[in-house]
Amino acid sequence: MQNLDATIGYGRFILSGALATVELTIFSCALALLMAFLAGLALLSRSYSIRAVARIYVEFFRGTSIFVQLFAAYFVLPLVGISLTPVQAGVLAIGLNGGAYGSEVVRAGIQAVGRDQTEASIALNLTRWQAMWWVILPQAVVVMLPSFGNLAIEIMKATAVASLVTVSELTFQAQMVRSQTGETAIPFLLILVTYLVIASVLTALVRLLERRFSRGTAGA
Amino acid sequence: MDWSWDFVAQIMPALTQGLLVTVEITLVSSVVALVLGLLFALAKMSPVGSVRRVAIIATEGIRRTPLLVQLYFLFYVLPDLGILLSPFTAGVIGLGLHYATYTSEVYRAGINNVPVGQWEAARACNLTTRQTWTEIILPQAIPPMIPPLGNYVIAMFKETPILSAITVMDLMGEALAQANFNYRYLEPITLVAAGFLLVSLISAAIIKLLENHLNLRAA
Amino acid sequence: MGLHIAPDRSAEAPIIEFREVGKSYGVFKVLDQLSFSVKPGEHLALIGPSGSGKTTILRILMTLETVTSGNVFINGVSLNREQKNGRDIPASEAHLRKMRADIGMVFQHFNLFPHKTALQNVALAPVLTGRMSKAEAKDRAIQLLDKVGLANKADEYPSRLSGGQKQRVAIARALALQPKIMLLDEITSALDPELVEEVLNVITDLRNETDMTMLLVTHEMGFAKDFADRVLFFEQGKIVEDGPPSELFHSPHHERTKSFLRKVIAAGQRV
Repeated sequence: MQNLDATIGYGRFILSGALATVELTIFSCALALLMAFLAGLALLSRSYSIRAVARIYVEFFRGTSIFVQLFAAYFVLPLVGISLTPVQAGVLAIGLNGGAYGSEVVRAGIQAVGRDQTEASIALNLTRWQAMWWVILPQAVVVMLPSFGNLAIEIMKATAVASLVTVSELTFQAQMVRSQTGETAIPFLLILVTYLVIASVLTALVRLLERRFSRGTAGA
Repeated sequence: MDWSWDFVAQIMPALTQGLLVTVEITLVSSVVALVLGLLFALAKMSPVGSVRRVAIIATEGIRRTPLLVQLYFLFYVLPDLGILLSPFTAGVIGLGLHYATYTSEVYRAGINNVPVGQWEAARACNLTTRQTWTEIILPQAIPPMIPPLGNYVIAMFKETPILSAITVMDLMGEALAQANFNYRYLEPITLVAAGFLLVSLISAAIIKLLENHLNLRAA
Repeated sequence: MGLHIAPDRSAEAPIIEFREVGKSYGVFKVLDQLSFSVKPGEHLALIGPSGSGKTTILRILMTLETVTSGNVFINGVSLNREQKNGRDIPASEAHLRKMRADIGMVFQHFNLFPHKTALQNVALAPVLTGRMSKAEAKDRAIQLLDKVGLANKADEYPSRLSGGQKQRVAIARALALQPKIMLLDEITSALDPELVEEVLNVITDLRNETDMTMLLVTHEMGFAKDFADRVLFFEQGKIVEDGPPSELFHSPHHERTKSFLRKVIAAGQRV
């Protein structure tokens, strides 16, 4: 029976950790999505300087790991006068990192839409932005969604690293249980399953979006 | 913010030592990832249904959970089951296993991308199964696999800092140790970031060249 | 230079004028010092072997390609250059958009928007270019789809339409902006033979019922003969022969035209 009590005790820890992980994942995904479209469109800009700025952002964040970026955000940014809470540092590092990978998804998705669609838009006298918004992006998003689904899972996995700057998400809570009770197998198995559940929900959500967005194309 | 070159000089020997460990980890875990990945790929394409299913569940399970938790599992849970691993060994197994799930997809895609017609032509030429693989399929399947596999090796290199969480004294581990000991984070973390950025930019450029070279040959 | 000054506006003022237009890709010359003009309401057929530059002419008019040298005028206004503060500069996006307002194009591969229904394909541009309200554009789109015989397919996505139906939607879409010049680029080349006629019938109706200037690039010699008041035969970026269809198809002056037509007839086409 004592085992059961202990398990319920872990349960409470793990549940609060799961909520924090979900929260961190949602905010990081939102920031990553925003940055992915900003940088992805910038990578295709006609202006050399805009392309260069976007390229530097992408290469910088892809060139180092989320782990290093998180420690830089948490420990180095305060030295230049930017103090962030652990959660803010986590969202900033994970979101900017995800955005860098996502920008390549956006760029490739837009380029996957045929040149014929751009030509039809010109023949119908649409502006560049009208063509992008009404013709190119709706088709590109369908191409991007599977990659965005993978990216969302990578972002969720990256949130575990935030435990190392004291964000009390799943991994942090498992470590707490371990240090307080000496139990190892149960807390870590529990959070592995929880991560899998969150990943499955993310995958299902993306599938749903894929179905919604694919009307008209691919026989739908 | 005051950058101190004296402090940089002071921590440089430790960081260099850490960099060596990082390179060592990258090499060993790359071998693990490349070999295990091939085994996973073969299992996922096995003619036996149950082998296929188990392989897919295992690789997806590993791929969808954080590497950090897997490392903790190897480092904290296994000793309770009587398997004691050094930080280095646990780190190499964790990193290699995690990335094996990615490389297995590269192998599978590479083999599946060889057109069915090539298998049929090999049969029509009356080649043995072994000849079909060594003479027809693999020579076409392997070159396109090289750039993505190379990219995963770079990704593993960039991911090594996470091993410091299980007390591996790699570049990041040494940097954090120096930072905590001296209460100065600016120089160690900046140096680590700059080092990783430099190496990954250069290696990404090399992969790109390789990719162009392979594309040219295919065209 | 004086090349970009608007030509005289007389009763016969051309709606389209090419003046010594050159177009090359690297060393490959697609158009070579090409000059010709088109009067308002003319129905032109552009014929000739593949790669002779016919399609490039339409693409230059639609501003999908830029010229390498020379000038193109629409109603006396330069398409590829504009005057700003007394200086002669390459046309800006704003200038191009103004010029495109009078030009419509139908493509060989339809280029329909796959994520929009037939109706939405037709109604999109009039709304976005600010010509019509949504309701007006929808009414107009229904009329146009009816005109091309597809009122019952208004809510279908392009993936559910046959090639001939797709091309008829594309024609309706090009008509929605009420262009003065209509460019038809090999509009039946991508169709199965049995679907060609339904598209050509729509074009014949348009020819007879509107006063649009129409330029048709085609490999269907029989249709070119029925459609055109004037035929241009191209080879290697140059006009070899220019005349009414009766003359060009039945008593061509040039040896090259004759040999081209012989090959076409040998391939089984009616001329």
